[in-house]
Amino acid sequence: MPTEISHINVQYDKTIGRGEQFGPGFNYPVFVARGQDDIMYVLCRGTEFRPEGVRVTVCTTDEEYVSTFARGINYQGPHEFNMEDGSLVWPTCIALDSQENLFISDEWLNRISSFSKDGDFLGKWEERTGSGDGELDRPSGMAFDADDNLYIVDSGNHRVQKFSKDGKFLFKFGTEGSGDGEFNMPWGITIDSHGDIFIADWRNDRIQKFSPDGQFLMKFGSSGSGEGQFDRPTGIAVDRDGVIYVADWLNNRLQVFDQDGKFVAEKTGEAGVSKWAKDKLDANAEMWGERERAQGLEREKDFWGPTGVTVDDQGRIFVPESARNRIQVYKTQSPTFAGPRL
Amino acid sequence: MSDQDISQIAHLMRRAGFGAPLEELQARAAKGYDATVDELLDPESQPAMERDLMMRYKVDWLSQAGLEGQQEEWTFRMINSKRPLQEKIALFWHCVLVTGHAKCEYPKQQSMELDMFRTVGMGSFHELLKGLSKDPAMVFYLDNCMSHKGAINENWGRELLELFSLGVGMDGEFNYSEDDVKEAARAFTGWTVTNSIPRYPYGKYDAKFMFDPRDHDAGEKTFLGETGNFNGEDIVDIIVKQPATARFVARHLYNFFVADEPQVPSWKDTPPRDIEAIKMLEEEYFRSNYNITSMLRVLFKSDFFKESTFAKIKSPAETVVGTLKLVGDFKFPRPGLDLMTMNIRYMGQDLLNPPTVEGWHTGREWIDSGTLVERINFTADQVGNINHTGVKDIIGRIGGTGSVLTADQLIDGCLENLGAYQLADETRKQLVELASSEGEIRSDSEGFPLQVATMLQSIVATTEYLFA
Amino acid sequence: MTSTKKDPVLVVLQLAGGNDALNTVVPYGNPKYFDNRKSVVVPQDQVLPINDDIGFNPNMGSMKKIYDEGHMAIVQGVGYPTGSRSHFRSMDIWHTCEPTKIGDEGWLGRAIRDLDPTQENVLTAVNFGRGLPRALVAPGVPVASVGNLETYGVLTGIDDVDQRLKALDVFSKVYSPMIGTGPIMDYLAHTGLDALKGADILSAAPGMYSSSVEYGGDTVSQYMRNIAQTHLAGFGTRVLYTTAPFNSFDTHAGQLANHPRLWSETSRAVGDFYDDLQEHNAGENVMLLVFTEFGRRVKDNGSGTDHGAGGHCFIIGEQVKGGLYGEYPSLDDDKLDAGDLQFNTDFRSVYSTILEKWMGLDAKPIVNGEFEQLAFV
Repeated sequence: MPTEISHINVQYDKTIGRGEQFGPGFNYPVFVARGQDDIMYVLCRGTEFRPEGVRVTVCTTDEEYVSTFARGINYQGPHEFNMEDGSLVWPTCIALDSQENLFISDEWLNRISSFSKDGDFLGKWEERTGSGDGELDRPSGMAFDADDNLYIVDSGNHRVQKFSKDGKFLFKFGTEGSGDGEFNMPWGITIDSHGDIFIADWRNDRIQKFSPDGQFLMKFGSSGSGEGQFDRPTGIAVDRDGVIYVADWLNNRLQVFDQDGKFVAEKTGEAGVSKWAKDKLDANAEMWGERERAQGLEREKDFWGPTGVTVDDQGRIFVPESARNRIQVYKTQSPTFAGPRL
Repeated sequence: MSDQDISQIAHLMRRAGFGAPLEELQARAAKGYDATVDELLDPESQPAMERDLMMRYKVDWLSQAGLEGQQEEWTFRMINSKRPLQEKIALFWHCVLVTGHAKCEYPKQQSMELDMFRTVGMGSFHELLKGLSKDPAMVFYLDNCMSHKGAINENWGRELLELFSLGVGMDGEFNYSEDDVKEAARAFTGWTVTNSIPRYPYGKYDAKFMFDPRDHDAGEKTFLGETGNFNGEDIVDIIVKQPATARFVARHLYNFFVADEPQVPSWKDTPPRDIEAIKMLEEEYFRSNYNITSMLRVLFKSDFFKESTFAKIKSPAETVVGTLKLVGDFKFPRPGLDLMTMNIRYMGQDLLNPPTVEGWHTGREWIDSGTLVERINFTADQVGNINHTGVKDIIGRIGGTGSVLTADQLIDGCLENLGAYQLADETRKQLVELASSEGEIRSDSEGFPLQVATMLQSIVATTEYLFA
Repeated sequence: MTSTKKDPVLVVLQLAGGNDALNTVVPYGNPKYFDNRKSVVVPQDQVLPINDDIGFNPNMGSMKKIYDEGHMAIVQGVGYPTGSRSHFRSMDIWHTCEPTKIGDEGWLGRAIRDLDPTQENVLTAVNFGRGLPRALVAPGVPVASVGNLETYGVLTGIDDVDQRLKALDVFSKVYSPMIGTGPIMDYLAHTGLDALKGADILSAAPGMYSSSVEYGGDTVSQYMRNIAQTHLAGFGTRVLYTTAPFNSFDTHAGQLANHPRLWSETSRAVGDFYDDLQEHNAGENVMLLVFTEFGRRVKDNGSGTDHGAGGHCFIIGEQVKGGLYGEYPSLDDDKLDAGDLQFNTDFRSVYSTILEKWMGLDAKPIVNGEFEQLAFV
């Protein structure tokens, strides 16, 4: 019996980012991966009009800009896309392996590309579009387990597949449907400290939990906007205490559940002016005045398009908002005794 | 069903929608013309767009922060909506009740206006004008938020009368005076929008309509012969009951759905092309209490409509959307749609960003030697691409009609699949020569798909295909 | 060409996105520049000096050479009253000469109509790039937009050469005006044949061209080469236009990496174009206008600069009286307009000068008013 959680206290910490086509800022961020130390990798989905907007922005949790790598496809010239190695079309998720290499899913190319943490292109799995074993149709969320095997949410095939790190098919579970262990275009995935797998079953508006070998364990959630209900959940994360966080996309909120899937709290957004945002406003100083005059400035706090959620080992929760080009960070106060002082 | 049925349904779908592949035309013809009209006029009876899917894959369609993405999203809707008339009516009102990105700079705000056009735009014109007067994009676009008690800005008052309701004049007479413009502007003082949150650092926020009673001129006004302490709603109430407004709505509907009229600025002195048709629509306007759907029902079921095949030059949006529906590769969101969408702009119709508050000039003014090259090359590139699923279907259907085809059979097959098009005798003669020049046309030959594709390309390059 | 007096030609290069005026013609003698530009700054020792106060961005060597030869005018502090920081709106204002209301016609569209009122030449104006900038748009003024000069034409999607020629033959017959078909069909027929004729003529340009100048591989360079090819082919084209793609000068972030590259490409493209025309002895009747919709903020934002006001524009040509025009806008705090440089020369002055003194047109109805003429022509 794991520790019983008596209080789950989630508080707003800070906001990171600003809208920017390139450089320090984000462009339709859809996923955050937390690396060693303070490093975070932010996956920018971008648009198809500006290839440089599609990228990974590397920065620290203190909002120091580090670098940018990968890019979108260049549309100039003939209509055939230039699908060269290392370019991304519809990037969806980053999974970090034990050496902190980045694996990025691309749900248009049906491709898994890998990069070193310095942004060097390492390689890609040979594209295998289809519905057979090991074939992919719009790969979405991904997560490595403790043995460096990669679970991929194969959304178009309504299933989850497990691969070795070099792309060898190991096994799969799930089929299309709404029963236990069935999926409707699933999206996010996370693996908890016991190796159990949580899936954001997107179009079924629920979360499902599975054992490492794909046995259905539990589910929670239904369609709607009430407590514990979802409108297309995108991302899911579980912290070291077993607390579950869900990015409730079209309800524009973060929901928090205990380890049994019981609703604990919701956060509709508390964003403030980030460090980069302040730089931007200082350079356009009259906007500080416009903000004073603006009607409903409190709307700036609200989530818009929360797409994915990531927790780190310090108990911080990162929620990228694709429509606001920023990341809201929350933190938990752990009920678990962590020592050493009374 | 007869060729006549198909041809009539094809005509209806081009006008009330954006055309349709032959299979859909056949299915609709089987249901019948009147039943199809009724279905089109009842969009709620058909499923809405699956917005969750659209925004999952086209992430920028959620926030609609950029013009290109917004144009792309609308194009996707026009191609795929099961409620084609809803998108067509939105396009119609967008071309009449103009706002522009160059000034508004927030596509989502214009998008919300389009949503109003999709729904209210098929209801009462009275409600539509009231909604438009309070629509933040419009209030900002035509400077009503800069119009103050004691210091009016006439822009909205003027365009409301000139471009959005009465029109300058009809039957040679003016419909309103300069004083009416000023009095209308006074009545709308205090109708404003909220101060907005600046776009940096996190993007824009929706503006809201606001009434500021302190900035409203509550004094007496005389407008179109009536006197009172009018506010904006009173002005709209007076406008919608004018015969000139009935004429205005009728003539615009006719110009958009039936046949090209002369350009709008000449309407005061140039009589309608078909005064009887306009009269029918005017009567329905009053009979139905200004209801647009009722007017469209009369229009689509009328003889004048059924007889108006190919009396309109297609707009760039109709050309591109119609072609993309036909080639069938954009039923699901995918990369590359943006490039297709840009062709609407290249042909001279930058959607949501019209050149002036008058919108676009229509009819033959869509075509000049620059835009014609864009139009022909785009349509020919698409129908000539034998990898497109829709083009494959066309090749398959034509190939299924026999193992050896005459040049005329090939041409007729192509015309039918393009939407029951018709050719002038001289054009057909030329195309027969072209088709015959390659020897026997065998549907089982390796070269057959290209033969069909080349014929489709040649047909879409004709003057006949410029029309809808 | 045999005539000794050649018709004047105007080439326009639009730097879309809002070029950073301060890092282009750098006020390196002014400490205020360094106060405001903490990060996005051109080091003093790298500036290519014009005088003790200002100098070119280090990547503008080719343009500086033209300036030093006396064939380039720099108009400083160009803008218009109550500047708009919106790309679309500001570009619209530059295109339509209507700063206070939504304009209805492009200034060059009007100029083209005056140059060729009866549309005798289908190629009086040519735009390079897809989609027509509003500057060239006016009712009844056809302008060809060329995405790729090497492959420009009608029905280019038919791959088989023989098939395409046959289809084009059909096209020309189908579009032949037929008696009794009415004014609209007549108009369409003429337009179709014009389009075909224009495409035929234009597509011949690259074949007629040879040059020792090797342009860069970037889009602006390639279009400037296309403009040279079209001009040298002698089709009687009077207005040629192109735009730097992707709003690339919109350097909100990463400016230290991107802005130097942009100017190195653009300056080389301009220099190559100038050399190319000189090599062919065909530059004396050509004037090149390089403009942008606005300048950028005086203060940087840490990694880039945001939308501001007051830019520079460049006018280049053998007949141009080189030098500095207008005044460099002050960087003193009390002279700034809400953190922006104040303009001192209305862009319509630049247009009026070009239209009247160079193109020989009546500028007033084109730019909607009377504006001071500058001395660069």
